[in-house]
Amino acid sequence: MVEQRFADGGAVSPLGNRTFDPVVVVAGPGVEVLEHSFTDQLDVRLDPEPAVLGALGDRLRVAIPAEPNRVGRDGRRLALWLAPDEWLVLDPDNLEDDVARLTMEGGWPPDVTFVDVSAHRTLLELRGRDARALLARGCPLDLDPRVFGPDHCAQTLLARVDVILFRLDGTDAFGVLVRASFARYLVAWLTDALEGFYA
Amino acid sequence: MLLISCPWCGPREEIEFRNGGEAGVAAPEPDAEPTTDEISGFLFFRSNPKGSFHERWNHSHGCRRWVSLTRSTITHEIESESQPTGRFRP
Ligand SMILES: [Zn+2]
Repeated sequence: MVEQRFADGGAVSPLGNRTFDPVVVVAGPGVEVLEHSFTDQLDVRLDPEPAVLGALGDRLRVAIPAEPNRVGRDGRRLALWLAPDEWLVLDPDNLEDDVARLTMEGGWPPDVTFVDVSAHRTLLELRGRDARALLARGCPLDLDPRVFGPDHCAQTLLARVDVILFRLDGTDAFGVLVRASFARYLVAWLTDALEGFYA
Repeated sequence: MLLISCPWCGPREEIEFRNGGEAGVAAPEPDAEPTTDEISGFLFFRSNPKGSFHERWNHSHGCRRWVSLTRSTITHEIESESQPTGRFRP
């Protein structure tokens, strides 16, 4: 909804894609990187009162995790913990209508903010048997499934770039949210790292 | 490389943090009409010890919260638990 629009009415993602369907941007024998263009993203900041978190979860139809670095899920909609008073809600389909309703309805504590940050980052998916090992080449976190489980998320560095990492639902695939202006660099780094990988 | 424990995110590598200098430096009360020496002391003077140092770190590439801890400036050993310094506590 907030993608850059051109005179022809088309939209283009930070990696130059023009479709809502995932596009492969890096591929190797055991790993594939895809861009999920135009994923709707909502940044929420509020005091972490359990009642307010519950009400927010009901209105957004996804559990808002109170525990640090955890993900709430409902279908394709995710709520990622970013800070003690901040969450990021993702939806590849449509978040726009819910955001409009949230802000129109009111009834929130005065210091609540809802900010549409859909243009802030683009979503990469790393999948395949070597996805974890490829990430580990540039990321200081322990990504072993016993440590970084399916409901975990983390803000960290990947190849010196700020990213938000999480596990995509029900698979071994990782989601990597990267700022729009760093996306091309990160894909170049992944391409380069992958070359060394199978050398 | 230090392994710094964030009260929210757990142990993370030093590159995720930004050092924030000495912890617990109190600002002069504005109503107390501080002297120039008191103001410059707050702004510019730090204890700079050889040994245990109470300092602040910001988890700038993670949850962006401030923590304080005690670290030996000789061995770099972190000698205390990290404490959250903001209004939210884990
Ligand atoms: Zn943290």
